[in-house]
Amino acid sequence: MRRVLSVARRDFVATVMTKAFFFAVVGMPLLLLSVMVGAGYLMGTHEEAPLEGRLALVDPTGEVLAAARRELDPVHLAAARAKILERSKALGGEMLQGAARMLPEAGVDAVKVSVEVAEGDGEGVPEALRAQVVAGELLAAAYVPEAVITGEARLQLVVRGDVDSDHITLLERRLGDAAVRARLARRGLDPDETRTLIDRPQTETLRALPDGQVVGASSGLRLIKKSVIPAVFMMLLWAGAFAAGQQLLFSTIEEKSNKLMEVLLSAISPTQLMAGKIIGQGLVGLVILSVYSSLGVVALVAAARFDLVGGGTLALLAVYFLMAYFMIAPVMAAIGSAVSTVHEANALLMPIMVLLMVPLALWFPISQDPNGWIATIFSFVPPVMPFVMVLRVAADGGVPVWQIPVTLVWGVVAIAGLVWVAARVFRVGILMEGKAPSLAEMWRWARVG
Amino acid sequence: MTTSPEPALRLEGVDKRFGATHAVRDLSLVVPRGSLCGFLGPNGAGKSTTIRMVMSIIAPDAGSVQVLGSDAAHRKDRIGYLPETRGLYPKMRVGEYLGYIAKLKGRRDGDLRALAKRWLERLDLGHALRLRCRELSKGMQQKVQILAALIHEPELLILDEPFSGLDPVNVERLSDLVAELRARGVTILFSTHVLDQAERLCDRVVLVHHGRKLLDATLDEVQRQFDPRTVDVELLAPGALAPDLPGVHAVEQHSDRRYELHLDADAQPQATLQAVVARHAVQRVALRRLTLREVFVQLVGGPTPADEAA
Repeated sequence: MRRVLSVARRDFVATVMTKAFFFAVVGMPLLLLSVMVGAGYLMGTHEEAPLEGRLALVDPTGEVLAAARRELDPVHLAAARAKILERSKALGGEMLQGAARMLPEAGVDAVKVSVEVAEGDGEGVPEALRAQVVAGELLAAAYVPEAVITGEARLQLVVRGDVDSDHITLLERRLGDAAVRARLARRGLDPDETRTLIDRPQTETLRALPDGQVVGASSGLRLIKKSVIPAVFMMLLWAGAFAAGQQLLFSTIEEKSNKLMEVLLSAISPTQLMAGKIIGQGLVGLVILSVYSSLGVVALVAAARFDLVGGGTLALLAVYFLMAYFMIAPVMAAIGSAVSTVHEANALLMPIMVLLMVPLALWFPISQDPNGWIATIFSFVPPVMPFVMVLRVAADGGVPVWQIPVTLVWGVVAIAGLVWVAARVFRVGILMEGKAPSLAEMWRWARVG
Repeated sequence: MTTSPEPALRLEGVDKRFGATHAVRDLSLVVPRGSLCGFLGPNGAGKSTTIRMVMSIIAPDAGSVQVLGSDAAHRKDRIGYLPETRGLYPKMRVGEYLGYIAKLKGRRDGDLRALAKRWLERLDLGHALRLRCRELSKGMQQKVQILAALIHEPELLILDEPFSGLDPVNVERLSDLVAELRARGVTILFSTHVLDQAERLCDRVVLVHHGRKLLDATLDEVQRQFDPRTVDVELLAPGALAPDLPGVHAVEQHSDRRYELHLDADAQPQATLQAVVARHAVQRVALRRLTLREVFVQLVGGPTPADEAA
């Protein structure tokens, strides 16, 4: 065992103590994080250009003008903005609140629009008003026919060419709300009271899990838990296990192409060599996983939503990472032993890659129905099972408790089988020279030994 | 009565096939402790396959391989091995590499750095301890590879083509090292195509061809076995040889001064030599001895083109 650990240590140090690894695993995420933090800071400090100017309103009924002035009043706008942010926070925490800031009503806080009444000359915004808008004398001109108040007609809005999209949306929505106010008033209803009456009440939803836990499950959280978190977890697992497996492949090819195999095999057995390499590169994978997971946890803590991912889920992520890695690693070691160049390895890797793409393809159906038949069946099919289990464990809703220990035991059995086959290929492959074998030939080595 | 120690290496009825190729056929040999044995044969003779079986890198189909009195697989730590196909980790430092190999060979941590330094200095490579392997010249790399086979101080050392890639100065230095190790009691199995070196260094040779052993003897035994029973004579002045020299059954004349005398099977060469010197003024008279190269050619049928290239 001491020799196996010596091989593992050499492989780990040789991979980790390089500038390329440091940049790829630590430097890149830090760079991305810096960019994200920087972009967030810039967005936070960015001041939306004020929306200023005169709006000429052609209002043949005279019923919309007052409502429009109220809708575009800065005090009323600030109240609406505060309400949106408060609701979004209740729905999904800081993250949804952050997203809500993108909405025009919540993002634009400097509005100084004076609404003036203007004479119309028929249907639509009159030509003279359009000319004033073009000349920049007016910010915008609008026409609200009576049919807007009585039926389904459209109102017309002409805005200056330099008004940005958020500001246009704001004007559209405020004028639309003004028209609604006018409709309600014509029917003798109090607009504010009516709006309060039809406002759907918020629901505090809780989800009772099989393990007895009761967790928050608002719609925003459900969206994040159902789709985003499982996908992130699976990608993390996939990238970590595959990156470590690839390092194992490269390191085996390097030793073979540098003619080191006979020297090593004069001291240890092929199985010891393979075991040491798998352990060493597995530790490399754990480093990759830890760095990326830590960044994820930091992001969740920063977003004050640590309850999105429990400690148990993180522990299972580590366990299923090991399972995924130990299913990929023997295959990589066997292929690395049989070839002399990365180019040759790529040809043999193609079918393996197709197999490893299956979990990515299964992400959507499994996230939609984490306990459905597709999810349950693929939870027991190596080597995709750890990826599927991570999707399910991280998904909102929980996995039947018995499936976790059963998949763990079955995973260990599958790994033992894969290692046994790979070891037989490895011990033949490492001494082979010349043309790379086919997968069929490697299978023959595994059978014959 | 004392029992002789187990030989360093004992092969009994070892056989190995790779598909249709019969690489080693019923090979048995014994290498006594403390000997320096040349393991010779043309390319494809089965030398490397045999060595790989001794190193337990591959298993024989039949027969047994015993090293230092035990199954070879249990003796890996006591064998040093310099394979013919050898390399280094390009990015690893020389000291780290030697320490790593020593650890794989069962040496404990602690004095590995000092051990590596001592051995490097022994081959004038003391300055290379912290260099990366890729920074070494080819000859220096070769020496580091040799040190990797010695670093754990083995009792049996197997060297497969140790001189390839070395300049004459380093060939001499390595020859001295091999001789020193042998003097210290290390048993050395030495596979090479450089037969002159083998003849100079070895005390016994094993020759294999097509997986079969053709020769297994000490150098003295080889000389006796392949005695050409020929005396070369070169006279000081042109002239004819006396017709009744003792033990001579045929004379070949190569010039008016140079002759080749073929002796009877039971003739005493000493008597013939004395008679030639007594009756003629000679520049040179000598009993011909076959070189190892000539024995090799005689047994194997001449080097193959591949051998020449090697």
